[in-house]
Amino acid sequence: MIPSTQGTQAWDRYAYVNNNPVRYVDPSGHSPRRSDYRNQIHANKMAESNRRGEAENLLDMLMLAFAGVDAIYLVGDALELIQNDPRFLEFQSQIVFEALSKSGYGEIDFNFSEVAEYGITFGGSRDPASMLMQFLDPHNPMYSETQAVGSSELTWMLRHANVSVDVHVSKNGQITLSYTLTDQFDLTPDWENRSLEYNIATYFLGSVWHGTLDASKPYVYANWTTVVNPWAMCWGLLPC
Amino acid sequence: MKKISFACVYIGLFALLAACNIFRLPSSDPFYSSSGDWDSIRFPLIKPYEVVNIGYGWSIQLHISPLAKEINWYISLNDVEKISVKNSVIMIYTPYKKDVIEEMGEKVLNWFVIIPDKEIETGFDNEDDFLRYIQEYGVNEVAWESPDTLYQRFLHTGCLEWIPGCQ
Repeated sequence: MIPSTQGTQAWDRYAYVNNNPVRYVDPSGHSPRRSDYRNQIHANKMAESNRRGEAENLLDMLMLAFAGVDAIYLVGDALELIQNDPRFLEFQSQIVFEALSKSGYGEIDFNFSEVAEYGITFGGSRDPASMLMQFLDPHNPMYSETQAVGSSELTWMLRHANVSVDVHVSKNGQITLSYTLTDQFDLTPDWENRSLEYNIATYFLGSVWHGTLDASKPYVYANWTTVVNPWAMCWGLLPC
Repeated sequence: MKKISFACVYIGLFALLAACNIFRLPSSDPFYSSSGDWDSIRFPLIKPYEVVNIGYGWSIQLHISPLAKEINWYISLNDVEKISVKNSVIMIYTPYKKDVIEEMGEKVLNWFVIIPDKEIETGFDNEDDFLRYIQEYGVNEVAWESPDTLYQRFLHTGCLEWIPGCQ
């Protein structure tokens, strides 16, 4: 169906799915973006699961995985950590700038969606020096960035997670960002797509965690909405 | 005591295998020598552009603000399938179909050109326009390689043609 180009509803690309393309599919055959498709799969798995729980911190996640849940919803303090993570805020700024740069901004209502380049690195950036050197001298002040990463709860809860966002821009310039975060909480080696260090560590840790202790590999899910007013950008709340 | 012994064996093995990564690096700049973070793998293009994979395919983050470039609806390139770098020009092909707002003049772009020196990030929806564009920067032929191939070469040799000290 091709919507009429008259009126603001024509700009609303997701009106047919109640503005939530992550949770709904388009029966008319619009091809879904891969990331949304993946989020959709995760969301479906969680919706189907009877074994799910909410986590506010790493300990909650560990306990839930140990209890064998299939899905973990991040809430409370965990959500707050995500929302204040520097890399996430950088991504959010990019989205806001993308909205501001669109030709219809401030004139019409419109929607679009975006994917965080297949993942956001949570918990900060580690020092890029060799991991072995840092491992052998972990308290060296030179590696303070890595130490901060290691002490960040988000590093252990997520590290890399898929984030997609549906953006609604109002005629008055207000930008509403509806985020969906998905990840899987597991310690399984992936020899093609993970670093050697990760694979060695997870080979041993994972065999104990998932094997001996029989912990599950739950999907991790978070959903929240942020509203950005353009004036906030020039008052220091976001980069201007 | 037994647990501590096991821990020492694991740590020793970890350190030994991780050491494989440190004696192969021709560049002292970590940007050009790091092959990944804890749970991601990457290889460098021309600073600050890098190709990253966290398990969902190869992607490249763009660095010029959407406010300052023509293709303002692209902030990253996903599902990167082919890459070539020549004369400080980074060329990228991705079959990824980005969600675009056609009514606002946005188009799905599949061929991209990044020229870090000139702060250019641009894209094309057809190969002919792409080829014409790169000719303006002295590139007459594109030698595509897959990110997987480039990553394996970087991992095993620490070198790619555009890395300083590797030519």
